[in-house]
Amino acid sequence: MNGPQFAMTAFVVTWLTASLRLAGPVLLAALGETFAEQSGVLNIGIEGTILLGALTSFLVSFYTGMIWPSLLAALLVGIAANMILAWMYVTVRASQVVAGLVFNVLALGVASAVYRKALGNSAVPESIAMFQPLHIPFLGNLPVIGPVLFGQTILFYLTIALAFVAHFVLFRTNFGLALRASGENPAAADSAGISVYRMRYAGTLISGAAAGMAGGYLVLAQVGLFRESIVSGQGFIALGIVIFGRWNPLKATVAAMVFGACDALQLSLQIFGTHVPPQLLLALPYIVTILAISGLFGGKAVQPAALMAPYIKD
Amino acid sequence: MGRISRRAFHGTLASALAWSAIPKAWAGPNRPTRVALLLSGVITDGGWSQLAYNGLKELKARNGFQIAYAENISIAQMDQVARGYSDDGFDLVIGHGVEFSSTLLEVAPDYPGQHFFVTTFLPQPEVPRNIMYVNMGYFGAAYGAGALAALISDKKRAVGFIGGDDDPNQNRIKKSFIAGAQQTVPGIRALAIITGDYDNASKGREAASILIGNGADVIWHAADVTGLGAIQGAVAGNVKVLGCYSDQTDLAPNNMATSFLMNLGGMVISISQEVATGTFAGGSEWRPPVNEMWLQKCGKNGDYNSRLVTAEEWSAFQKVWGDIASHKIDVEALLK
Amino acid sequence: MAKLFERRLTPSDSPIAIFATTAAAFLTAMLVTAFLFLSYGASPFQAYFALFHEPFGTLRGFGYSLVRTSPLALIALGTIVSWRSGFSYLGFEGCFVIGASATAWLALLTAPGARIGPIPFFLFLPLAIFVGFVAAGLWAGLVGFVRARLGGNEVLISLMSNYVAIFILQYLVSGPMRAPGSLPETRILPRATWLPFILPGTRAHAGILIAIAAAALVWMLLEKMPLGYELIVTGFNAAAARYAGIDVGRRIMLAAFFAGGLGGLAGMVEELGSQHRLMDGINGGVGFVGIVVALLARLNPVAVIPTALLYGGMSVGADAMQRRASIPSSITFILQSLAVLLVLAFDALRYYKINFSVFSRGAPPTATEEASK
Repeated sequence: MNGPQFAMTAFVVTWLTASLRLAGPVLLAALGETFAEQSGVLNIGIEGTILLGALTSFLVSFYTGMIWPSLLAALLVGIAANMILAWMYVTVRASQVVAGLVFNVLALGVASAVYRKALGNSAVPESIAMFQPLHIPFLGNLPVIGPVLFGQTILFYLTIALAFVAHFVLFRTNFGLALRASGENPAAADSAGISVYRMRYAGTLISGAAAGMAGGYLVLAQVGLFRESIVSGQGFIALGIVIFGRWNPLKATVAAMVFGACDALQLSLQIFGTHVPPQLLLALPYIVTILAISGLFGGKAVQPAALMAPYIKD
Repeated sequence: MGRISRRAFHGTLASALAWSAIPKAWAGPNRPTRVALLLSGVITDGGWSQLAYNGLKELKARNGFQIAYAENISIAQMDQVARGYSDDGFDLVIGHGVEFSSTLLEVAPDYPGQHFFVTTFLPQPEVPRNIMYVNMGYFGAAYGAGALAALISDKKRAVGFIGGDDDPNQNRIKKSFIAGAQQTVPGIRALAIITGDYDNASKGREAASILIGNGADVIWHAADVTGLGAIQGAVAGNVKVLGCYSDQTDLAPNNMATSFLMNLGGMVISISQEVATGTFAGGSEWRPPVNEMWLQKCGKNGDYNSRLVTAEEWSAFQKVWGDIASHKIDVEALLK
Repeated sequence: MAKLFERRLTPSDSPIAIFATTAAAFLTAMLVTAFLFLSYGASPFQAYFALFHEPFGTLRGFGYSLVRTSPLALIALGTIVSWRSGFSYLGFEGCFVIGASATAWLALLTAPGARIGPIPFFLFLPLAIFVGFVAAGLWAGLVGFVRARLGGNEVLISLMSNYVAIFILQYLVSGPMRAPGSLPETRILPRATWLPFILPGTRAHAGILIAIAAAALVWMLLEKMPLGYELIVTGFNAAAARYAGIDVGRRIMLAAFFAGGLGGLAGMVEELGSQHRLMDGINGGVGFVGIVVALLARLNPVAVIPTALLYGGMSVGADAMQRRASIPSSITFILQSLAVLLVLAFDALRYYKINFSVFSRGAPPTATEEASK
């Protein structure tokens, strides 16, 4: 292969691979958040939940050396943490925005305190057992798409599979119908015999499970260590992806890829020494999301009508 | 975490003694010297903040020092926290990082009997006598890292740098790294990505894999937590990596050639001792030699990992490193 | 026999009930956190003494409390204007940054030798208020436009716009507005543009007066003016407002403009009163804390100043607590967030009423039951 062609291929391959890898954990969190929002709950607390999941999976992996139990533990902690949030959102009917934002601060405090009690300041090596990229025979050797699509970790494929499962559950099952009814018209859902409270609890807990797992994904497949800053806004990006994806798991998958692509592009373009102010590239994913959810391209009609509206059963 | 060698600072202590001796409030023999460390990060970050805190802890273990620290200080809190410690009578208030530069500059004149130290460049030509800044030789270290990376590159095609926040300082570190690589091994490409974030490990990892995919086979970072991700990326791509700030060998025992560790703990101890002995020479920018401020360590392997770096490569690097320290290679002139 | 607790259809809105539930929430949060202090070997009494003594028992600390109060109160007022108009704006972090940047730009123009040159403070201040208010007002107004005319979701757009505003600030201080030298920050603002200090021996500045004036104006707007009434009707029931002939879209954009402007004033006050130069990181979460303050004040402009003073004072106290008792910052995060979450949660108690006739048969009263009087 000659020089320029190699450079171009390498640019494209590394850019796309990075895009997909960055998309993985946020997509997982976004899939869960779709359930919460379809049930009428805007769960901003997923940022903190991801952090708690990340800490849990790190500690379990550190102490046991086993990967799958670490992921499971992160999932369970996500559910437990979101029990509190669901109670605040649904039973107490607190402002979802404020409860979620403040929960994120609480999660940061708890994660930091626990990490410090467990490991902080000790001189132990920090490497933990991690998921390794799969090497799929034949497919993995294809040019460009081989390394991009078939060289990811198993969690990536699991997440894609979950997107299809989520789509099926939301749009093809009674549970999904009841969930969406609770977010669209809770009063009507209630008179049809659906427990709106139960559906919203379910939506919030599913988002908690997914966010906890996303934290595990981050630690076990991407960075292999814990710091209290490692989530750095990815929960908020997941919120954007849900809306960009029109509250539809399959479209959210595409949205996550677009988002990852923007994020990776601002890294990749620097290889060429571009002279664009870097802040413009860094702001790109946010501007893309804002445009995507601005309504310029439609979308108002598919938003759950009762999103963020607490429901009071008479 | 890497242990900090204090040996390196004996020399600088002596040179500090030789500097102007202004009469100042003396900490009497019966009163401990009280030192406060202000951090914008946390003491468990495994890098920048933790290293300085380790110095503080070591002071605590000695007689004659009383210590305190505050972490996660946002810009809105700085003034209050700095004045709080000053009002409490702390003899030395250390602002760890560029964020503290202007706040402490404003606070210092109100507490002429106490001392202030900021771990960043002198912000203006004239500063009060009781505040000291430091040029920690980032650019010399970056030049050295670029040189070492280029020397130990197997394919001699490209080496890569990963930066944190997009600020002028990081951009100069990037330029110095590129200059170091290209002047040491002519023809090699030096690629650089400034991620715009010190705290995003996933982004650091992707930055590393992009650099590796584009031909880099040695990675250096100066990006704190983002850099931790960069190290993971280097391990995943199975290329050599150089650590930064602390001895990061444990994070990648098979890929870490060496770490450029910053003697932040030693710096905290050294400045505190100057205050305790009344030799603190403020009103200036302290310029410790780059080879005392930055040390190369590689865990149990000693200075470097001999499976990744040959003895010839190391001695070639040592020559460059010495030239930077003696200003035979004038890195700051390259940046003008 | 009458039950001790009886469920109400609507929560009790009496000030006593609100105060009692809030106080009970804070006490519970402090009790829980006290155990965490113990686990770090710190004395809870010493810590809580610092928490309250520093901000309200020392002159210097009180000055700092006022410094913290001003931006919090202004952002809380912005939250009140937007939320009560049915516009769930969360972009105050961005407004703060935009307001601060615009003000710093103006102040630097009045430096000796700069384009405008020195102007008297009584001329500069109204100009700075105008520039800070309008810049951030337009920034938020854009989100209002998207919501009103395109039907976009303002919650997420405003959240995302915070990041964009912060990138703009980073660009400004590392590029066009950077002072010569290595640091990503502007020059120090000319002394003549600083807000005057109002309490001798403290850092308290005139920003608190601006915040109080703004609270009075917002109260007048919402309670006394037809426009405020229209805004509230829009927020309460947009469909009804439309039937009443109110141009809902225009009201929302106006609410967004006012809210953003107040957020911009917060940035201006912080810039001219306390920071005196522009640098990355000046926001530090104040845009979100301001929203929390508004909620704790139950979206009531009259309650904003005392609530902000209490919250600002507590954060000054939390710093003192960390300093005096060597408590890690994570514990103060836990204390603050737990207190707010419990205040929200204890609101549920106001749905219950106590049958005091039960007490005459000898049941002992408890603190939380007082809440539902």
